[in-house]
Amino acid sequence: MHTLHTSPVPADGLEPATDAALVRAARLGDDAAFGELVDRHGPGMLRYARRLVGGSEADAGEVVQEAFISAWKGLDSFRGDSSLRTWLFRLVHRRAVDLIRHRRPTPIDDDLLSHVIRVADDNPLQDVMDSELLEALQEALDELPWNQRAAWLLREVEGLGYDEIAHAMGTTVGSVRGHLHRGRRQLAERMARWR
Amino acid sequence: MALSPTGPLERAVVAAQAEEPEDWESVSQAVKRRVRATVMPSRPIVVVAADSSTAQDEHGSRTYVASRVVRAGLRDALRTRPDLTAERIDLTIDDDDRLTRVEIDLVCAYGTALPGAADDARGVVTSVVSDLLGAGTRPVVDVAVTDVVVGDARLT
Repeated sequence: MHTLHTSPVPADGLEPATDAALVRAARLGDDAAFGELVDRHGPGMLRYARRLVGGSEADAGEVVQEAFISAWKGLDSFRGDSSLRTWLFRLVHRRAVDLIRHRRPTPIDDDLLSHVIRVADDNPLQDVMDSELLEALQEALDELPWNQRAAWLLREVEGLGYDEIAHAMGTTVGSVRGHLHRGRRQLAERMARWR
Repeated sequence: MALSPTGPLERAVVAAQAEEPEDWESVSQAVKRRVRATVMPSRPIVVVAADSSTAQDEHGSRTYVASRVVRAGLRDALRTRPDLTAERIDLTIDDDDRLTRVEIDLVCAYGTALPGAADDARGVVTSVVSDLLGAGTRPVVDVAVTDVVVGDARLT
């Protein structure tokens, strides 16, 4: 008589399963293995989604849920051309775009979503708490064009490489460099008021 | 653009990197609930007795097991040792709902005797199928070793 094992990782396993091993198991319908991938990559995806969609926890949670359900249903389409993490960020990015498109009457476009840069005209105390800094960062991010915001978050906060960002955003490395250059400059200007 | 080590943007970046979303646990649970509730494609497979009959009683009643259940049983049974694990499991079911063929792609650990591993996997499949679908279910079992990895095949 065979024995059924429900854990995606053998009980005596001393090392965690690689993403590849968990994907292999999940493709065979192992939802526990997929759950490990969720807990491994989800916090970063949620952090990215929240900053990208303007700080709303509810929207970010919805985006991440939809991204993971897409991943679960589409695991066979993951061919390993990128890392699993990059692929998951790509799904988050797409779901976030979908969400914003449904909320706005116009298509996602950097020119349409771009705001006039506000010049730093105040001088708050230097010693601000992290929460205040993060709040200021979110306000500054909200004023950035969409693609600059996405590229900056993926690079500076999530640590993705340029080619990974290009894959996640569905664009070219050259475009990523441009978005990053402009985004960094504008964010630095907006945050300068906190100096 | 170089950032000042003590600049507000750099400090904000460090704070953002260290952020652990407080609501992650609830999002994680919601994702897992939805994954479990997602119905994956499946077909019924008829249970066959040792005498090749599908009738469970004098009325000809039949018992079916979802192919999803059979695949899960095979997947788990092929993950009990470090030298092999399944990468693909395909089931062929005929028009009479009988399981006629099982195709397994295996990943084996480097150094494993591959023909022996394939034979072992075939034995596991035969045992699982018999347990789940009755002794009269005797499908062809094709095994292909599609990859060899260094270390525990289940973890690598």
